[in-house]
Amino acid sequence: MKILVLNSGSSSLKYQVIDTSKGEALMRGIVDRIGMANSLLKQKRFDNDVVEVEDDIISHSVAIEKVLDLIIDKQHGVLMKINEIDAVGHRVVHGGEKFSRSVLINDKVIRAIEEYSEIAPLHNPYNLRGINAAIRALPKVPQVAVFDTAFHSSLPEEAFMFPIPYVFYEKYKIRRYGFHGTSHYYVSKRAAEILGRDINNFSVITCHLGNGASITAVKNGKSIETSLGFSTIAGLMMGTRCGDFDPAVILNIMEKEDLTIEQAVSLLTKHSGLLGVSGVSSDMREVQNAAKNGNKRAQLALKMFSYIIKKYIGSYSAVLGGADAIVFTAGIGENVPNIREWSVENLEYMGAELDKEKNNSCIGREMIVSKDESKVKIIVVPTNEELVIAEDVVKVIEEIDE
Amino acid sequence: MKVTRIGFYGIRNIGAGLVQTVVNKGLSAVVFENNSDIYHSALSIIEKNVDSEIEHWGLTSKDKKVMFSKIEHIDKFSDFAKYDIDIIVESVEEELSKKIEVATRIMSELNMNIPIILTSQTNMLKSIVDDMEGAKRTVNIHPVPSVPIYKIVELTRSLNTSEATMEIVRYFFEKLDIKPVEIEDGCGIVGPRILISTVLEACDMMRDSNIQPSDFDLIMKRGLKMYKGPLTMADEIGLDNIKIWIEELSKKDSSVYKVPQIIIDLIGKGHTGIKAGKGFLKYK
Repeated sequence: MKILVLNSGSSSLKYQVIDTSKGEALMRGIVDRIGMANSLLKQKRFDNDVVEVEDDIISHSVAIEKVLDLIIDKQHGVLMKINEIDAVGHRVVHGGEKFSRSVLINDKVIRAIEEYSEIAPLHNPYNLRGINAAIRALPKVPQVAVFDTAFHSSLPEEAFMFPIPYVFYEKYKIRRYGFHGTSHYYVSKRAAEILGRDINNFSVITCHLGNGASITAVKNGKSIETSLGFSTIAGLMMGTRCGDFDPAVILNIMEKEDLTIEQAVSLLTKHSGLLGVSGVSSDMREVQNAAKNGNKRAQLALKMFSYIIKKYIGSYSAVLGGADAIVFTAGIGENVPNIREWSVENLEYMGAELDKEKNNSCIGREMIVSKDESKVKIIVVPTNEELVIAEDVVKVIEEIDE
Repeated sequence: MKVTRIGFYGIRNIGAGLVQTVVNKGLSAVVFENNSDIYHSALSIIEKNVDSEIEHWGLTSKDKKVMFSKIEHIDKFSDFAKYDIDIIVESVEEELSKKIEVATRIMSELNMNIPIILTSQTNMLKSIVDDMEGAKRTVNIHPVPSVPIYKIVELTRSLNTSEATMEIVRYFFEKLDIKPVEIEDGCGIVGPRILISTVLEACDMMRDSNIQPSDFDLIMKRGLKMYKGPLTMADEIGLDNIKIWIEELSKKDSSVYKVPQIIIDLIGKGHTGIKAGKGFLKYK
């Protein structure tokens, strides 16, 4: 099947056309600065044909029309006719407690996604814009919603509840939802395949380390604990997001610096993490360079980044009753050997022994980087969220056909 | 509906805050202001506000760079024709005659069928556009400056304002993440009238009981849960503008609205508020 995968943000639209029979992307692209002057569309085809278009793209509807035009463009396209698209898969960030798996989009699903906009105001409304625009542009093509939270719907109650008055869960559904679900699902499944293990008898800790980052404990194919919570700023230290720390600190800073809620949110989401500690950048490469050149705060930021990952790995090993594998994925997880090394340093006691040579040689590719005798395997698995979305779309369509 | 580039006729009065709000949300601003000093003074107000937001963690230096790249200056009115603007916002002095002059010029000389947003704090929309041909494209607004970046705006339509205009204007505010509160046309809308009344009371109290401006603002902030003290807000708006607002309101009711001596004295010393580094309060 040919699946169009869409990831719609507030002013951007990422897309891929995936041929699920080969498991490959035929093209991928992004429309940036939607609704602003000088929007930019960048697209790369499987054969490295690149196209860039600058235009005023005033809405997600116009963006999708442009994307569809390019998909069937004689020079840069990959399809002859638009009706070759069998279905559209939409990444939807929040599926709340209602969606534990991907679903065919209908009015009821749209209303539910709208409802969850209240707890995901920065994501769901924009995901919906993409959905509505795609339905208008391709009214006869099935549209499927794939939720970032769905994989974590298996979290047990003691893991998803917060130790605050229960009434807030009842009134506002405040609880841990977890995110990056498609990535954790894909790499945990792939790790089991690489090791020749049955996913239903396999415990793995998956570390998704990108600009946003999270760790998940996956037991027998199900997420049982995850570091992102109600929002996307919990858990690990990230590029500009703080991760976990004493909640009294922010209240204290708000009072001392006379901050509004918006300013406090911006402090935690845009000024913290690697950027906040190093004062250099939110980009791991720039922080690494500064650290190499002797910048003490950059060195501290890197130490903290890895130390917090290690703390989570230890804690999730306890949650799992011991892990069979630790997986690193996403930009930093796939490409930064020293962060992987520091994150598993001194974990030999739990059976995780890194092969430094293998680890240093592994950049952006699938590889086992632990010693052969390591009881807990350490694996690098490049993530592929779009492929998971496309495969889920196929599953949903096939179920309907049956 | 395309709303990506906003034209500004002038950048006086509350113009700087509006331009800041527009570019903060990723839209572009094309500003016609033929007085270079006024334009640069407004830019420096925006810069001070943005720097303060950075200092208070609300924005980043990168945000600042992007915001300023979205402001374009033109010094000829006819240059608007070179830009594909979607809405034009008037931001000139508060005098009624000036507002009428600008509204007339936009309607007669700008050959673009786009909404016109006026920003009179003290005059009725009807008294500005009355029976003008372009009245159907016109609304009046007042963004409430009680938060660092406007979150709420008072929006007035005339009997002639078309539903199509309202639709575009509502969409514009939705893009700015500002909630419009639609109120009936009147002499001065809620925010300015209440602010002016509070400033007048504050001036009376400073005269009678010698209370310090900083103490007055502290009581209002902590006691009445205002985000900013009213005197700080007046300093932000500019005491010269506040004086004009009071004078305009006094034309409707001179028994209530009279420019206090303390404001006349401050303006006389050049202490016009934040832009001068000193107004009711002192600024770094």
